Amino acid sequence: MIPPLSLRVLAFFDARFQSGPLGQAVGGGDPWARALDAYPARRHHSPLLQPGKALGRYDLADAASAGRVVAVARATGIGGFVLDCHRVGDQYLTGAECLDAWCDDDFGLAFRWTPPAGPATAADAAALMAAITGFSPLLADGRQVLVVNEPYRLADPAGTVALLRRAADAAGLDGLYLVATAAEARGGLLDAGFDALLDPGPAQWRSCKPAELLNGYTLLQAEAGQADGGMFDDTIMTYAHFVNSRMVDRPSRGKVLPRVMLDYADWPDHPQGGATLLASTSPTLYRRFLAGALTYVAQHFPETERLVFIDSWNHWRQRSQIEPTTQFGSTVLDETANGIRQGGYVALTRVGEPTPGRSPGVDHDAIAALCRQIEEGLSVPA
Amino acid sequence: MLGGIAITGGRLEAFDFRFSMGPLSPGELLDSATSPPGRYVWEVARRTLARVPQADAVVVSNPLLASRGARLADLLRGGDTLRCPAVLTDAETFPVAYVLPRALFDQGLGRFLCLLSANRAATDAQLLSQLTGQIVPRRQTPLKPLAPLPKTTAQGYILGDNLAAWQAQCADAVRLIRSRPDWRDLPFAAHHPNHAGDVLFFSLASRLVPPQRLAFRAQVVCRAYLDIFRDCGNRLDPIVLDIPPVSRTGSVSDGRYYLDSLAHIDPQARAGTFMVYCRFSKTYSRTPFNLVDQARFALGDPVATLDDTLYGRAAAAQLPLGHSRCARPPAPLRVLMQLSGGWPLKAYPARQARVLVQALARLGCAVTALDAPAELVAAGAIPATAGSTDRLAALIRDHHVVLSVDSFPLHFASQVLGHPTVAVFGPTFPGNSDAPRRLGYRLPPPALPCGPCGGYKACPLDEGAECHNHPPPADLVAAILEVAAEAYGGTVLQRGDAA
Repeated sequence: MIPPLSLRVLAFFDARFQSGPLGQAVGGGDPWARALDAYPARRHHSPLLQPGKALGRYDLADAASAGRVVAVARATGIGGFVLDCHRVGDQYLTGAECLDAWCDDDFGLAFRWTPPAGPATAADAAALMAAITGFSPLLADGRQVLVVNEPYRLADPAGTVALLRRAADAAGLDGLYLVATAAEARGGLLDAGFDALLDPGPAQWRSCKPAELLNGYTLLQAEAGQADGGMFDDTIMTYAHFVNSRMVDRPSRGKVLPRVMLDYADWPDHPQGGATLLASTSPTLYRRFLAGALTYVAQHFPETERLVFIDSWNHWRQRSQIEPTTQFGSTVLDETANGIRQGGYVALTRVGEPTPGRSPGVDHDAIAALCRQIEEGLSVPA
Repeated sequence: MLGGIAITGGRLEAFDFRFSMGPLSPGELLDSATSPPGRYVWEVARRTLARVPQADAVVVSNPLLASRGARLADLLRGGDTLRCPAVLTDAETFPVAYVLPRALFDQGLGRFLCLLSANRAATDAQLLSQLTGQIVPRRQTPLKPLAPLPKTTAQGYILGDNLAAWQAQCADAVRLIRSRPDWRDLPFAAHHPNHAGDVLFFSLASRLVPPQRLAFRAQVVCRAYLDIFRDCGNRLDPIVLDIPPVSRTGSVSDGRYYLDSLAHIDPQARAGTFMVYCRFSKTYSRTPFNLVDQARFALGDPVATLDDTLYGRAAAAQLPLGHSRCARPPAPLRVLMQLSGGWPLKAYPARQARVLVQALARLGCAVTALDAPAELVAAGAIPATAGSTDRLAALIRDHHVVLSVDSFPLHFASQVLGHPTVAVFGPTFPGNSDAPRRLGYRLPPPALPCGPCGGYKACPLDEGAECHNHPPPADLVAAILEVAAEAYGGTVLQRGDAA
């Protein structure tokens, strides 16, 4: 089931669930135990979920297991995985070799790279290209997709982009489609040569106010020992507000691809507080979020660059996984499929429709200024 | 998920069908909120027979339940010898599936399955018995008792009073068949009497269903909406209901209203018509399909592919019904607005409405507002009231562009008259009730994914009285000017005019 209009839904994928080279390089042992070995210390921390029967605790080094994972993702309507590039010594490992046998033009692999501290070097770029070359690529605008995480760590974004592009040429790639993780175009990243931006995760960009439960009343309760004071150490956002904040007024943020997520809670990695959590999550709203994101990219992006990112396929440690769980079965996966179908259908009935403000005969900026002026006039007390 | 099984000489072939979320691929059914569950029994049987044309019988799962074909086959294999026709039940009396002989469809009686109650096995067995002329047994299966059922099922069916409504339509049909030897030729009437927009959607649907597919010949409609029924070119015969439309507040459910309304329908009409409950059997905000397509499905059209939908070529060629334009000179640009809808949250926020009216006034436009509150009149709008479709049509034709929230004037201007229109959606889902795209029609996209929220009086997120998902005034002003330029030629206002 592929959505229409060249819409492509990608999911961030953790390839460390394997006994192969990547699994060994990141510590060996049981990767599932490592990911799931965390227990809530606070009342507002929801426990991690457990893999369901459908896919179980797979080992990606086993070809049949990897094939099952890709088959389930394909059936859901997902068009590819985004794999992290893990720095190991002087090379990068991605785990792509486990999945590549099951990929083709309809299901490809993209990569996410977190720049090292300090300036990127030619050797580093060459190692990165060596790690991502040779697999079924996930293309945007005919070029391999590479997501650059935390681009604000780059001392010289334009220089790094040029370095990566040169390394890609040298590696024989037909160019790179570089996506920077940033919420809006104002930071100059597009001018530096990135092709598009991508909404950051909830911990990187707190796009809405914290939930109302963190008010003065609760604070007094906590001080009196009648509520868990730990919740003030974490950032808790209500899912509905979070979703709306991610979708409201998107065009004004520039060329930013949507990142859709069902849930997020990074408390296992912040045992002393400072975690980011989404509260009151809802599979139904998640479906609408996904469908809305698909419609948005169909309306605002060129046909070859219509990507929506789901965060994530299997980040179990952050509770954001959409894989089947023991607790909820395939509910979320079904809602993902429904969201992709619904978004594809809505986009199909909308794309091609003229959008207000695009007509050359009407000066949208002047109209907006006029409305602002009237609005300000209404705010002045009589 | 709906299961269908073809039985051919004792061999079972199971099929799965699902309510589509959009693609309408071969195993999917258009999700229609205005179709009673029996309509899906008919459709699944029809699709199953299309896949196995030589089948002797088909078994169809109860649409209220999620049941795969393979699961159904397991239930059939266990227990006594299967008889056909039959109603399979859970360990108690709730219907789980229907065993239907092929002859039912060969004789053209499939549409009578729309009358099934889907929740009372005895009544359903009586209906099948009347249709087939055979004794129809109820056979229990090992399935655990299904009761108590949720208020809304996973398939989106609203139970509550709807259960009684479906039972009543089935029981009435049994009585009618018993009392009328000519029952095979009696018409079906869609009981969908209100509200204004819904009557319009059913009217358009009645025109789009190919004659050979149209299973209905009449529609029950409130007298208050009879002008809409006629002026929207409804091809069905009206059966007039002389009581007020059901309240929007939900104080009386659609199912209860159906039951109460039966006593107010002309007894002669009732004695010669099969009434089918066509108000909302399901939550309509769940399905992505347009209400016109949902009504088409209810009336018998399978709407089996995307190309068959309102957004496909065939339907687009038939809608809008007219091609209306304002005959006045292009300046000043005259704009007709409807900024309030069927329920409070649909209304365009008051403050933004004032900005919109003032901005248009400063651009030299003449603004008329239907049912305008005093603040809008103070902002420069001329108040007007429509009252009837004739009066509304005259008002629309007297203005260059119509701007309306998701309400009857929007659908009437865009889908019936074909007038230049700007659609404003906030808490409702545009795909359920907008028009196919065309020149002279704009739908500035709502920004947030929280719609459709189902909110009535207040936003479910912030509990405020206004929906923040409505497009800002600047988008609406731009859309009005663009639509006017498309429809009347030239640029209505040049760059800089607004400054």
